[in-house]
Amino acid sequence: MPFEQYTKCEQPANWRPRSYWIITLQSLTLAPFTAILALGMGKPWCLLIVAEIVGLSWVIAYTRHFLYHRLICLGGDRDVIGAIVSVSPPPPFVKAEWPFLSDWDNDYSINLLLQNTPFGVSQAEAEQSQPYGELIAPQGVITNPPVSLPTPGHKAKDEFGTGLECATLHAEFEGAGNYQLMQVAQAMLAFAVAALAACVFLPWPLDVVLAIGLAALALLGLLLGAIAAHIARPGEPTDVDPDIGDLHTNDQEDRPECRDSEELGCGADIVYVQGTWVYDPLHDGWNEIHPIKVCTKVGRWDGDWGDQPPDVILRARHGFEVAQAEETRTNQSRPEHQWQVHPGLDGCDPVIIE
Amino acid sequence: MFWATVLAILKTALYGWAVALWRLLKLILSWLRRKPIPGPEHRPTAPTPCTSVEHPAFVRPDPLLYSQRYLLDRGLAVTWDNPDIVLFRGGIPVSSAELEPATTYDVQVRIWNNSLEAPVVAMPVHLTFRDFGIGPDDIDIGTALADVGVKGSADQPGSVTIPWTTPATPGHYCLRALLDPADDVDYSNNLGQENTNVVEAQSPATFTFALRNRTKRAQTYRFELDGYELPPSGPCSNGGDPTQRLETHCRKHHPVPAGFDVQVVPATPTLGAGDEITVTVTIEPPGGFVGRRSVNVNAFHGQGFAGGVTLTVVKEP
Repeated sequence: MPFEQYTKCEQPANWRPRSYWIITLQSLTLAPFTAILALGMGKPWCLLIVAEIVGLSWVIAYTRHFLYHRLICLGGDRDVIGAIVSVSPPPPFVKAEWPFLSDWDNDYSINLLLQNTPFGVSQAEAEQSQPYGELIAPQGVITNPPVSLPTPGHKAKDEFGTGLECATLHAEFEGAGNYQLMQVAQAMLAFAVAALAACVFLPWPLDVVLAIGLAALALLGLLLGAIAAHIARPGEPTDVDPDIGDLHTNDQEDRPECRDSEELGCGADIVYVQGTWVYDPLHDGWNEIHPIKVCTKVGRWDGDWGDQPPDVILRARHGFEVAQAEETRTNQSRPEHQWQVHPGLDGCDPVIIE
Repeated sequence: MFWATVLAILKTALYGWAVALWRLLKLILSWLRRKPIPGPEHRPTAPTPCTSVEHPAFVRPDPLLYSQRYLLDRGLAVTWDNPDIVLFRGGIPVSSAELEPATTYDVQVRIWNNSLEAPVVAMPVHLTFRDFGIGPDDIDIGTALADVGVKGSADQPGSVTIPWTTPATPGHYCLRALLDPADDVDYSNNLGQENTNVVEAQSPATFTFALRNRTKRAQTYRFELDGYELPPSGPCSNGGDPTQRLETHCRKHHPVPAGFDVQVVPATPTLGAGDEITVTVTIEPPGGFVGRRSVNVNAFHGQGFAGGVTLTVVKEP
């Protein structure tokens, strides 16, 4: 399945705090022309459709800010080894708070205990830890002007294990919710503009009938599309796909081998995560990996980091570099790599011409 | 930032709506193509500390080796002369059927990865041995960490080498390699065994092996025999797809070789939980037979497959 990135981060020098005033101003882009047209043609009731156009433009402006102007770049792609402290799937649709726009983010979040730190680690201790403490520590480009924001860090509770709160690196599997909402709004804008054209240029009663029909279609499309975009998200536990995996936190109760590990924790997956290192100002202020471009399990937490080879990140990094290389991708389509059971059984030898 | 969004809205009003409409149609089609929701027997809902994640960035490796149990479950014939477990002495390959006592061998385990996206990283590979036969207890040899690249990469197959000093008592041994990945698309093909014996035919060739009931209840065993030997892979230019190639390894195509008389005694032993007996297999090759020929003995009980051995008859000219 191809990976598609929906967000982009903004360079610190270009970043501005989110302002609903600015978003509203941007949403008025089409208003002057369309309003003058409606009034000029002597059909002031067509201003209702102008209002709909402004509303759809507002959704576009909002989602564009969310996707392209919210996150602040910290320094390209980074990778990290960490243990899963908690996982936050997107909330079910029925629990989403009104207005839906404020909660349209359907990313899957994971919170990682950095390698070489224990469960219960404080933010200050984790920032000093090696080799990944820097990833959660305050960065000059954030604390200094023009951004000038604090980085108190992200804390997560090891709910089913030690019960301890830990300083963590937040990371997000990017969902398409806001992007799809933008697509829906953009497509429905066409119906709204068509409704305005019908309203302004067609004779009565055709203007009323068509304008109301098209305008209602735009509203209904936005509503249904937005609901569908929110519901149809990745990661449903009920999806049928053998490739779907699970992420585990510590779990003393369900794992017999973990019953005596209450103080240190046991059972959490240790993962390799690679993605874009950013600062997300919408929350309390923390650095995060957003989006996660690669995540795979490399071990399981059994009370300390002793079982993890110190070079595991180098091994994972090399493995993914090779996996993503053009040569490997090309080779994968060759006949000798089409086996599914074992290369000695359903495989074949490459044809070599000498 | 401000003007970029203003421009985007203008573009949308002019032509961007068409692009968005097209993307929306594709999106709706993809929603319609989503697979049906299964009942809990296919995929039980995850408990709270365990969260399912379906996202293209979350990738899972699929390490495997030649795993007899996995292959038998698919109706395929198997050899216990495992192509992915090879012993070396002084850098030279040796047969696991001809080991010397108190001698150190290097056991090389070869590992494959069926994933196109996720490499296998620092996966423990556990090597154990048993007395020759079906069912005896495992004795640890060692563990090593393996990396295996994705399909199509130069890092596939991966391998680990673990030294093993054979017991001082002469005998035959079964080697077992178990892959222990942190994650795996299919965990059922992670155990491979090397369980062979070679005897020179003295009209007939006689083999013995231990059969032990490792279950918690009495079991009656039966033995299935076949003459399967792993053929070399053919060139891809021969044509055929993986399914057709797999068909040639089905058990029905590999009976005991014509003219070979194989007797297993006892033929249907009943063992209590933990009991162990010695099973004798006599193989009478046809007159005039010269060379090497293998016969696989696979044992089954009421709960399914129990294990197997590959016995090779040798007759010099």
